[in-house]
Amino acid sequence: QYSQMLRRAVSRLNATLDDVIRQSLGGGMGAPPLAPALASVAAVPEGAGAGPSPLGSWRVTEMVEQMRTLWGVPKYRTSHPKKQTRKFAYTRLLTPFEDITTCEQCGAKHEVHTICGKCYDEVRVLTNMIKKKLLAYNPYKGERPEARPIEIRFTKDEIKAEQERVEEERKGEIKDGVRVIEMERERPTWFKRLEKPRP
Amino acid sequence: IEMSVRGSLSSLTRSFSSHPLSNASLPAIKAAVGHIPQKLKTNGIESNRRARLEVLRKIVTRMVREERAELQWNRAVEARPYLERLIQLAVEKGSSDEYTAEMVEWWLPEPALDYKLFEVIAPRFVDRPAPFTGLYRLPAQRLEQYIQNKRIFWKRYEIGVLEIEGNPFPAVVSTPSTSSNLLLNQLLKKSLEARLNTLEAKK
Repeated sequence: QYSQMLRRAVSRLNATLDDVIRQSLGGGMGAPPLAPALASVAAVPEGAGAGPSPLGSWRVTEMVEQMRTLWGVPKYRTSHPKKQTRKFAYTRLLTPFEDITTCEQCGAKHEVHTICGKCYDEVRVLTNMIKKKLLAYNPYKGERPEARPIEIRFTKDEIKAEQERVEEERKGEIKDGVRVIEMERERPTWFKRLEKPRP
Repeated sequence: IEMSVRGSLSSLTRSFSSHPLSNASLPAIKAAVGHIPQKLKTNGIESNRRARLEVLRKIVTRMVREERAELQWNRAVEARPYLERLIQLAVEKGSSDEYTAEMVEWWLPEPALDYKLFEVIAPRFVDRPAPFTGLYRLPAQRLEQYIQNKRIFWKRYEIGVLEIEGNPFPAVVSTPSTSSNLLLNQLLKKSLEARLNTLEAKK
């Protein structure tokens, strides 16, 4: 039944289009056809609601009547308070976080796809302190960034014996010494001291 | 004379064939390319493909200089493959390669950053495989976006931490260390085991 409806609709559409084209070519309703004005040719103007055209018997109005359905429309104007209540309701403005998890290290809450913000705040502070010392060179004066291995030393850190350092250099593990960056604070517990400085 | 003619001809043509791109000979980048192309905008430049490259260049320069940076998540995702590619070129090809030198000259316009890339960053990855960068996602932050007539407009930004591996800073995410090797814990463990043995012996 659906396919039949579709076929009917398509044929109707085609017929309507043909009609529209023919009418426009003919100069509109009630106008004489665009042909040489010969005495022998009898003008047959198309009147409104005339009999079926040679190609089909459907018109646009009939097509519309076929497809008419009753749609819903608002009966009254929504008041300002009602509109505001709908737009700024708490259910619309606030959405709950469904993906909250607890950090294993500090116990703070964060979303599953992110890292813990509280833990990272401490990391950021220390990183910026180290960066300040590392970026203290002026490239426009010909100074260069540090290429040697870097050791970050805090207060109250046990300093390796000079002998050990000399031995390491002799073994070839460290070349040209190590750049030591002194920090004016104690070592945090989560920043473990490495056996060897990072290359 | 031959050399000079060839040199001048290559500069005239400026085609890719004169610079061996060697894309096929390099291993694939181990950084995921963002699936949504980003229209990176910045003040003072008209937003187009060239502006996007300018923004990416600034990010890559900052990364090579500082080795760790916090930026907008979409920009970090977008810039990461470019940074990986630059480090890969430095590691695999070195400073003597013509193409690598050209890329470094454009992507790192600051002085002393080519030295940083070839002498500080690239040597880290001689025996270390890709990826050379890491990207972490921070919780969203509400930050000032712009000010209009003394009224501050805020926006919720997604922030990411982009870093080059092997930097001297503390790890972004520290792995939970076990405290099983502490003296007290070892003593407790041994004492519990001893107690268990005595109970089993009694049975």
